[in-house]
Amino acid sequence: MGNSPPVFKQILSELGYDVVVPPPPSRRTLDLGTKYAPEFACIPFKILLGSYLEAIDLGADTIISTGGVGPCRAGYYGELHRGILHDLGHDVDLIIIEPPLKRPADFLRAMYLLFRERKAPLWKLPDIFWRAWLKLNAIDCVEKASHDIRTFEIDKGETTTVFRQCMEILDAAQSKIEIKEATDASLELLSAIPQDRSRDPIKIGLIGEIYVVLEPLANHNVQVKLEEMGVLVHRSIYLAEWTQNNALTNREYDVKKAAEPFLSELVGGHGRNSIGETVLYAQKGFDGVIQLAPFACIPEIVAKSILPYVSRKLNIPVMTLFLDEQTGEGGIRTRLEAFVDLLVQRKKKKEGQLACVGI
Amino acid sequence: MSKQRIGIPRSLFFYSYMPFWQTFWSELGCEAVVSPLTNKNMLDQGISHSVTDLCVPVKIFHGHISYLISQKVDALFIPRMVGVGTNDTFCPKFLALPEMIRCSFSSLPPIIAPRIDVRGPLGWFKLCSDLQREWVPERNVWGAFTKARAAQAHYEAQLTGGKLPHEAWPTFRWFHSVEQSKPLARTPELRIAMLGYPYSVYDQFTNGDVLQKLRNLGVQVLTAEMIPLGKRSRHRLRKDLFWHYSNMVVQAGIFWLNQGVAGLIHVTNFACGPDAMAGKLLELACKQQGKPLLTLTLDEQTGQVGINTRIEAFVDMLQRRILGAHNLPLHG
Ligand code: SF4
Repeated sequence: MGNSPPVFKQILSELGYDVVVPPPPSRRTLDLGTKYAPEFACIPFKILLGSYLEAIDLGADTIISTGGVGPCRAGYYGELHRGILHDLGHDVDLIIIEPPLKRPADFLRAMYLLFRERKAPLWKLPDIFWRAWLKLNAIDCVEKASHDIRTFEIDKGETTTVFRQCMEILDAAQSKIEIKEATDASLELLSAIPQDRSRDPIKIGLIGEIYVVLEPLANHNVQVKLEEMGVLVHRSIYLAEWTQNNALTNREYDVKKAAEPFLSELVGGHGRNSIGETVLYAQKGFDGVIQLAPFACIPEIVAKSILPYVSRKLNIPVMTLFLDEQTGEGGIRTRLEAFVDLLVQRKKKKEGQLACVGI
Repeated sequence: MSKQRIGIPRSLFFYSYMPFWQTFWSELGCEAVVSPLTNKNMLDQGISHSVTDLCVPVKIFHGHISYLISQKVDALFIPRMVGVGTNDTFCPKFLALPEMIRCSFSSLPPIIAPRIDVRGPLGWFKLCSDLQREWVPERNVWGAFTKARAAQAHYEAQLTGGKLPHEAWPTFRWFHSVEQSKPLARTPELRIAMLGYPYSVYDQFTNGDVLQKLRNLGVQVLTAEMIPLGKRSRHRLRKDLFWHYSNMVVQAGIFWLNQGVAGLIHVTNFACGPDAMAGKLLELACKQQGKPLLTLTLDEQTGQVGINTRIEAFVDMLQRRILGAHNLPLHG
């Protein structure tokens, strides 16, 4: 998902496995997945299935994935992926890591399978995971920095080029010190990019389902596109942060509280957060919100059907992009441009009004 | 004081729980206003009141609500279905239904939206007495509760006895849109399981009255509701699905396959999330047993003609398979 694969690769290879990293998801991955997935499975399901098939082609015989407890479908993906892969005649093991608290037996079994063939001694494990965690955080931190800069860059595209270099630097970092150094180096590289800080960009909040928000193939790199149009984009989800807030502790109270008046029930996936985040963005004075969701994603559809109401009440424009394998680059761009135009007009009008009041 | 009129939409979970709620409210001295069978007008109303990406059943639900609003009911009954004690939950759209409705209509009568997450009779009783205390404080809950339970038990017994909802509970009775022709008699009897969510299988408007159509073709139709819960849940998957109705569909599929039906028809809704999973599981199960599966996908434009031809072709094919098998020589 997004920039995270190198981290998981690091964990597994340090455990002593031969790791096959499928190529970053591409059009081919998606086509492959679409071919064997149910029609109305959502795009993450299809991309994952495609990646598994590509990995199998490269010789993988074990696949590690995560489970879940619903009511979002994603928690069941692993089971169905296994069914489909076996039906296609591939003899692979699918180790599904279930949430430890809700399904302890399954979790332990997965851990057993996972560590059965490990070559690293037990005492090394905490260190392996701790460094992976640091790296995940470092990646997020560098990515955030890149988003703060791209909107203001003078040469279009420069941030993206530099960011790619940074990822390579981080990828090579192994020890704690190296990770720290790589992070600093990356941040320095980024801040050296010439910028025009006099711009007064409009601000958009990016919300929606975690996978499509994080995976550029699925969302056609919406955030970068917007930033290159000169918009300041705040993304609601980063992987390390999210893991901390959801899997490890439960710390998203403010988002939940913000959503409360509009949707009091947990609807799975990221549905209720989408509402809460929209409310928060409105309160923080953002100019607009874009919701990204896989086509036919139920929690997000639920959110979408409530969002118009939130938008009217709090006076903040919201646009939803539902993404599937047919979504084209061009279509996305036109819709983004139209939305940005609308926000710019609104902002001008608002400022005009304020100026009048001032006189 | 005139009777309170409570609007009950005949849609979604009401195909499973209508007897309970209708009895409950009328026994409490209210008038239970049940919306009629889905019709074209309701569908249009539903479409215009809901966001485009919703599935048809939820749009239709909006249509039923808009009908009830036009009837000037005093309150709408839209429970939030969370769990009914089977360790699974409902499709997220059920979980947020009251809010979705609240956001889709500009003026609404009060909504009675209890959160239904109950286990066992005690849970149901508590739920009912909360409702009674809040909405009809002058009445006594006990009588209404026991009558409602009896009605529900009776209804479920009729279903497991092989009846369809419209034969088992008066509210569900409908007038056949498909002409009643004399059913063909088939030998040997052709048994087909028709699986899907109750609001799709039994809403004869959305599915073009497939049930009746099949019966006219001389087929014995079997549904998920005909299997008692205890028997059905013996056919659990290695990991259960999360949604109540989807588990029901998949378990029922496996159950009927084991009972040797000739084939399965899966009635599903365009862009239904849970069904993308359930459908695939059914497909894999059928493949394992070498049984044919027909998937009927419903949306707002589903044409009766298209459905009819597909059903006829399917039934013919199954018939030929059966006859063919009988003609096979006994020795290789
Ligand atoms: S189960 Fe499917 S058809 Fe039913 S409400 Fe959910 S998405 Fe719609």
